[in-house]
Amino acid sequence: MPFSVVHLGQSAVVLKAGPSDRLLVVTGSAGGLMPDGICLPDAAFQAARARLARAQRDGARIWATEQVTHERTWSALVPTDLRITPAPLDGTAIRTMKREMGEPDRRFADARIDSMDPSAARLRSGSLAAAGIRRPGEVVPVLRRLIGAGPGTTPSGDDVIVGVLAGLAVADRRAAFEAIAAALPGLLSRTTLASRHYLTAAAAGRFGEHVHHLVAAVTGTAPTGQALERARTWGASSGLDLLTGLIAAVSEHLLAPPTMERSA
Amino acid sequence: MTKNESANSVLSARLLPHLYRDSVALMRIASATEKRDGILRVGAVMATPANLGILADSGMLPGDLAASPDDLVFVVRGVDEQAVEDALDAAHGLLTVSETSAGAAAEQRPGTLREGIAAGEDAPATLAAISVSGTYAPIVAEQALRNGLHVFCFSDNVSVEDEVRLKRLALEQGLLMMGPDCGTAILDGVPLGFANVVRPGSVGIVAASGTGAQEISRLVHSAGGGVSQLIGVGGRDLSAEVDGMMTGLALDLLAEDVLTSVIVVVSKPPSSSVADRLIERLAATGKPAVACFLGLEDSDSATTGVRIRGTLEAGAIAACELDGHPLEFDDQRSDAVAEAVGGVLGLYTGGTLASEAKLILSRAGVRAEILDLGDDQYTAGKPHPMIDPVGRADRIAAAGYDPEVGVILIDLVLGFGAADDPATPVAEAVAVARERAAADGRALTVIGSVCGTEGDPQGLSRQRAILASAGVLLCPTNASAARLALASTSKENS
Repeated sequence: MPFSVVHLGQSAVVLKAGPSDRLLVVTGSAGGLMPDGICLPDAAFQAARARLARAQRDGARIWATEQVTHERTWSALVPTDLRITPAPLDGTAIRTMKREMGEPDRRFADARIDSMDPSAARLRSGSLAAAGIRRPGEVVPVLRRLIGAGPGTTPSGDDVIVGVLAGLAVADRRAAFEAIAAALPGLLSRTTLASRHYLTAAAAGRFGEHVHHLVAAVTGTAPTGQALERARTWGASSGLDLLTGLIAAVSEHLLAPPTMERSA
Repeated sequence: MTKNESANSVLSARLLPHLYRDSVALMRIASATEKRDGILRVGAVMATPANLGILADSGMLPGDLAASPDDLVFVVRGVDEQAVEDALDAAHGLLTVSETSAGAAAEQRPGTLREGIAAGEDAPATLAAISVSGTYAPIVAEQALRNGLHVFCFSDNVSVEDEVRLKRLALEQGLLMMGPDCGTAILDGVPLGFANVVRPGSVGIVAASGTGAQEISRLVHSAGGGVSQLIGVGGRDLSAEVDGMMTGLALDLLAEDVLTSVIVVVSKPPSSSVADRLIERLAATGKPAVACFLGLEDSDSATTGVRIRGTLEAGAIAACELDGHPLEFDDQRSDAVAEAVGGVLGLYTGGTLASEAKLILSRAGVRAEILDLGDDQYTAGKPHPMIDPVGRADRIAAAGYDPEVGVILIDLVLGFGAADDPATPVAEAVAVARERAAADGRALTVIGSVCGTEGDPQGLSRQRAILASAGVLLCPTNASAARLALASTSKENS
């Protein structure tokens, strides 16, 4: 099936299969595998990215297995489980990352000042996490304000939602996760094609390896500094948006342990 | 496109269906757009309901915008319709330029020629751009030529012996050896080195002069025409030693290029024997042609039909006329300039622009010192003043102390490769120079021209406005600026 280039990012190239909405996300090993994607060695990713840039410029159709990998046969195919499994959280690591990230700019609290600043969406991360865990009835209104909001091909609000879902998954807050996941399909038409792909995968419990790297830091199995660096270099603002959502969810989990969730 | 007008401003939006750009790129383009004259506010987002709501809440959503979440919307509020439309056009161009032609900042770049050739894979490289130290440039250029690549050699300080050897090698293989010391080229729409953003068109330029080529190409653009190819050959190509080897090959290529209908050769004063042969070769292309050789008398050759012009301005006027897009402009009125006491000091970043000014002033017998600050003697160990404007700004400020200087004549060259905002340090230095002169009871006149287009990253209007706000008298061409300086000093003489 021929593909076309949807988005040429520094960390990922998104291809669309024919007239459908099926996407193929090509990444390099530094960023890691994305849901329904191909992850290439970094040098091969850069070469593929250059080829795809030319194809995009020329409006050419792409035969993915040949033009992306530049090989007619797959030399290796490594199945990778992209689900996040529950794990104990490291409160010290979470506080450290929260402090290092700093507070979003509160001038953007009403989201009316600048549509091009991710701060408004980041400020709502806490609301979504709290709604999921403590006030499920508020999930849909909060999601409506977040989904598709902010700058970028995957608007900041969508990255925040993926981050919150990842945090709820690692914290094993199934009810909160399901409340958000169940509300998402009805709202997907309000955002971009690439975001629809990532949100659908996240609602199904599958997250890109770059999200797993961030999750590893909040469970204390990876250095926090490394995770912050990865977040800062993933996309233009996507990495920090994801991390903001993740930290908001695990922080809310620590503030409202499962016993409170059940009694709410 | 949609548009709303209010009493004090105009709001307009451009919708780009299914266009995706990351937010860093969007913010960079939005920020550049917001700095343009007459622009109040800019927004650039994917047209999701949430983002459209944010735009609406902030008064930045035109009423009848019909968009889907997979569309990019670029919104501009400005003081008038023209400013807004110009800003949207410029932003549209930046948003839709393909990464392969604009260059991806974060893309891994080869560190050696071999890596570069290997990186080509299924689309082999055809050209090597070389900007290593002049000591090593001949080695890299020879490697490139022997690998079948055209060469764009930005490096200077290469011996003339090496230049001749490399150009002979290039000719044997039918390859272009552009340079050494080649500052400007536009090949198939791809700018190399210093180049202005000009529209594609039918004027082909062969240039032994970088800023000369920029001045002509931007004037062709301003007249409504465009450039098919701009082939730089290096400043010494038309010397007796190099014998115009690359100019000849470039002319052959343009003669065969179906998109080129008018040919211009631009150079500082060439060797007379080379000039004669090149004019014959120009005529042999069979296409209308202009030989813009600085310092020659203007004439239309009865035997060859080639128009010979002795200034960049005259060369551009002739090219535009042949291209069917006449170049029209008005000189600054001479009464706009104060009576100058003292001589003319030219502080130039463009070598050929400096030569043109020197030529016009010397023909009139005016006392003038015109410095090309991009010359090797001023740039050893420093960036070219078109890249780093601070050194020239210091000289402008220092000129305020000099009672011998009554007029400062300057250029300002915009485009790819040039400083992000060359006007600001110049404007600040002009203010300082004026204060110093005033403290000594003297008036100091500063006259200049800007070689650029609205599409240049720095923005022609914005750069002109910065200079104008500092009191710089701006002229439409470099020759026109020199004529105004002449008028100023003539008053003194009269």
